[in-house]
Amino acid sequence: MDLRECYRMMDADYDSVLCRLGSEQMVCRFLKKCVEKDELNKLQAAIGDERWQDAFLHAHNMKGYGLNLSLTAFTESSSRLCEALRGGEPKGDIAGMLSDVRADYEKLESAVLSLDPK
Amino acid sequence: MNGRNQLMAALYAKNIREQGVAEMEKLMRNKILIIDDVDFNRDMLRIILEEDYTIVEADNGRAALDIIAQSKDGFAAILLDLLMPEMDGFEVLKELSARGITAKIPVLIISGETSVETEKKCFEMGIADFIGKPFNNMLVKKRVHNAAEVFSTKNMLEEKVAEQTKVLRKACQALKIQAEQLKKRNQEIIDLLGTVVEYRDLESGEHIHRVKEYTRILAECFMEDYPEYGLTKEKIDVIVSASALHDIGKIAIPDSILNKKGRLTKDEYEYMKSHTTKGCELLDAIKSEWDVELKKASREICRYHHERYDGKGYPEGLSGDDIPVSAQLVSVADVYDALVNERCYKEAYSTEKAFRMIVNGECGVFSPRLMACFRKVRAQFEQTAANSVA
Repeated sequence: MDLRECYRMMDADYDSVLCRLGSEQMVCRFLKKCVEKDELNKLQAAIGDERWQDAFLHAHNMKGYGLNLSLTAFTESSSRLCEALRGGEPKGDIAGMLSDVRADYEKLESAVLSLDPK
Repeated sequence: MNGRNQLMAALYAKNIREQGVAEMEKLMRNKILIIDDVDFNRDMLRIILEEDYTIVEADNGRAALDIIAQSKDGFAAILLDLLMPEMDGFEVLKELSARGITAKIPVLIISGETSVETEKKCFEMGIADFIGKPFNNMLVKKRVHNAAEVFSTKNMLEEKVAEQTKVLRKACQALKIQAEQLKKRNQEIIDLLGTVVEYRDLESGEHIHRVKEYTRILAECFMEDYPEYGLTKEKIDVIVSASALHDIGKIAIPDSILNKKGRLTKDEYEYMKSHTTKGCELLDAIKSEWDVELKKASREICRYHHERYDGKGYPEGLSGDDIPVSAQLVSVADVYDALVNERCYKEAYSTEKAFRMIVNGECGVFSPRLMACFRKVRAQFEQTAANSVA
């Protein structure tokens, strides 16, 4: 799968990321870095332990990856969770929001694994 | 050798010539410090900026502050994340501001926290720019470069201004010294002029110095007790300086009158009185520019030091405070010195007698306020008189 198709699979914005980062090479490099980060597991562990500030920071980091890589759907779900965890007191349906983030992250992981090796 | 050349020499000595000129140029480039706990972000920024800068990274605030403290050459810019564990970007920024770093090195925030309140708070804490996510390669480069350039120019200008200020301060100091020396020379000339006159009527020339001293003593007391007359330390200095010329008009009085032992005739007395107006004419004849205040005081003292408070003085019969205070002060000083010293027409009186004659109005009526001060400073007058004899 090429990068454009990969982005379509993830409900992400290929044109935006290419315009900002300048090369497919750079985008691919950081997509791979993103899935290597294990941020999701750290986020889940923090939520499980009710370490809300740590959970907020992990969600914030994931939002950052999403923003920089124009991963639209992933950015939206991680932003929602991030705001719900801001301030150290969880607000709303954390489990539901985490589930959305997991789903978008798994889509991301799957798309990156399907990328043509370059 | 400057710092750059010294480093070049050291690198050569360590046999890295084979790395090529390009590598050495890379080492000498400006440095950027990236402070972010997320290596993903640091990597992205490093790739964007490493073409133009040497990148130094820190993954937490405390490590960053240590790096900054130890860095000799400084950084062209600091890129700082806000949300970090242990020490967040705001705490780092506060510390950088306290150390004066934000005034010398541009700090750019790089963050996904893009609310207006957050940006505003950062700018109030002294940042140079706020780069929100998502990053745009070209814009990040431009904004970092622009901030670095602006601060580099600003720092260079500040250094130049500091250098110039130092030079100007030195020059100002030298000018001050010269002005003081000139002032001293001018005063010596004025004193000499006054003394020349005194030598004609067989005075020792010390009369000028004593009159100046008495005038100062009286004036300082008058300034304290009667501030409504507007005397200041600077004005007193001018009056004391000008007092040296009070009798310059005597140059125009012939010896036969000036040094006559007996009583002057009516006509001789009238001629003698003219030394006040003639002195003023002499001063007015000075063509070159001289200090406005000194000129004014000199003319006043010269013309009016024989006026009396009840209007019975000369040349104009002024009364009360129509007589300039400068002339009133020198009147008393002049009369006292004449009384306690020998003159061609009298012997020297005791200080006790001189004091009584003045306060009793035997030498003309003086201002009651002036007489109150004269009573207060009697001891200082008598000490000055005694020092002169000694």
